[in-house]
Amino acid sequence: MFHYTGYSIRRRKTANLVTVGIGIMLVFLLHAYFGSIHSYKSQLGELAEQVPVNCYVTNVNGTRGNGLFISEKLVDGLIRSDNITEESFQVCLMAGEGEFEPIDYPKYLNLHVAGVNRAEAVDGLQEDMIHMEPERRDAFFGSEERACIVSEKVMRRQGWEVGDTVTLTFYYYNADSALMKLDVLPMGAAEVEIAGTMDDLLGKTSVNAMDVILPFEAVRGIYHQYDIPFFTDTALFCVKDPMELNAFKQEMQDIGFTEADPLAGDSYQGHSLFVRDSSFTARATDLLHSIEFMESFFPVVCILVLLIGYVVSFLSGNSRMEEYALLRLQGVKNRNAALLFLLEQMVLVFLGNLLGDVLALLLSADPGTVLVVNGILLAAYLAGAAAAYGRIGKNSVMRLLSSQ
Amino acid sequence: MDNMITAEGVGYTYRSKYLRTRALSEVTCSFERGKIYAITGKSGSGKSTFLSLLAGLDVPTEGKLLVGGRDIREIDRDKYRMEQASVIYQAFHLFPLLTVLENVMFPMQLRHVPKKEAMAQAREFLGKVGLKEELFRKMPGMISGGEQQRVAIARAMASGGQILLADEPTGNLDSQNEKTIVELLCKMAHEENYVVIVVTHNEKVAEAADVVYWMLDGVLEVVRE
Repeated sequence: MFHYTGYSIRRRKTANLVTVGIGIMLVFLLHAYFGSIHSYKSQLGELAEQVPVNCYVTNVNGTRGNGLFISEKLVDGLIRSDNITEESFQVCLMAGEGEFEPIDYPKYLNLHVAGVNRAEAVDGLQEDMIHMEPERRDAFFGSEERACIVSEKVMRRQGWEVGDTVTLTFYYYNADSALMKLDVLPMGAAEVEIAGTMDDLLGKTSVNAMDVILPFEAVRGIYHQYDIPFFTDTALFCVKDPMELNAFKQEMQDIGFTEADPLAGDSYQGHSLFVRDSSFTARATDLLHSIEFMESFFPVVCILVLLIGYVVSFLSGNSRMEEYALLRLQGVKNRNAALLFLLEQMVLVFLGNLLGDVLALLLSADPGTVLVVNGILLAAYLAGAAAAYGRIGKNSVMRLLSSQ
Repeated sequence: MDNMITAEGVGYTYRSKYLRTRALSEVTCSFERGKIYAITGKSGSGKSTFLSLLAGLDVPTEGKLLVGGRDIREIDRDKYRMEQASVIYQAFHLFPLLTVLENVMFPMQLRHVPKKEAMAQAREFLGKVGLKEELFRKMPGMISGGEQQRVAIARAMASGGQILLADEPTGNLDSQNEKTIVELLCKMAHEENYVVIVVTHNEKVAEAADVVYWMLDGVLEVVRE
């Protein structure tokens, strides 16, 4: 019985080409539709990378981003957080070579020191400006070792060599009880190994150029050694998954950060958080609305494909009533006669599908949508075709044959 | 002689949403192998409706139609048409997408006769109806009406049944082809032992029949037996 479908496909050339053409056109339309949704989703997926949500710790009225007093508890909270990435911490001190009394500090206290957890935390410093053994460099800023990198200018001035161990007396910045007035107070001395050098930062930064840089945790260790409360003066980071901003903000609130209040008075205390999420949120909202809008048409697209399948099959079936009646006259069962026509449509639409896919892929359609497109097209189109051919079976063969 | 088909008080009413039309009323008759029957009558008298019931395309709304002793309502009527009864029409009704040979092979292929065997038998049947070999590969639209009707008769032979029903088989033919077709139908009845039932307006066809019925307003009467 099914050999009839083979004859029909081979011999109804014009009609079949039209059906294949309709299949190709539908594949194109579906690729365009699902391709748009896929493109929006891809953009949304890459948004965090392209529009990162940067955050920094600020003072209570949001006017300062560095030179703050950020408590150890808040910093530890940030270090433990799973919701942030690319965090940069910096603590600034003053130092002088050797051990000296506070009375002599104007004479010796001539080094700007920073403790950082990554090179980028130092304003103006880049990886290629640091000169030290490569195997040591990778782990240097994350370590607790009492080692430092020193600017070339200071190396020359102090007559230091890489590998030397020097004694530095540290002074730390302190604020009054209201955290309103800054002071520089003696901390104590520590021996530090010179692990490498760096290009001079002078002229590359708007703030005081750093002369000596230590790992952040090493500086914290020196604070602890002298029982001085540890504060960080700059903390910057990015939100790891900006799509989960609410979870991030809740965690920051739990850690102890507050929202900046522009009406509050000035202070050096760093416990507010500034989240630069407006660009991300605006773009993400646009993309989400676009995806939602496109997806809302999904039922319409399915119904449209189904209707096209129905109309094409109905018209094709109407022009083939005699064939249907003849098949029935020869003893082919009603269901099988309709199935023969449906099978023919399946083959033609599948062929159109394949050709459409190849052409669409050549025209840079997204390969990820091929299965979805084919699935929707075959399911919806053939459902329409089945409904159309099912109607043919309701005709009286007796009347069809006598009316011819 | 065995009665292949028997009608016992057969009636048929067309039912539509708004209308009921009684097409057949109390038709009682029987048809035997080896005879050719003509059913004549005016247009709309119910002849074609009766032929469609005999073909199993519908079932009587009243009475009984027995085929080989079994009520047509109880048999698989698709199988009946596939294996026992064939119909030819005035409009020939050949498959337009199949060649002459493929049209004749079709009923055999439906019964899963192997392709080679079906082809050989189809050639034989086409030979019996006097169709030239060069026409076998042509499409139905490329041959004359008389030739198409002969293909239809060959296809009826290929169905393997013994009942041939014809609805105005010579209606679209010239006198020469008409004569050929009538001869073929008679030959099938008298030599091949078919039951041939012909619905016709044509007097020559009726003259050639062994039994002639007249149908008027759905009622069947014997004219000549």
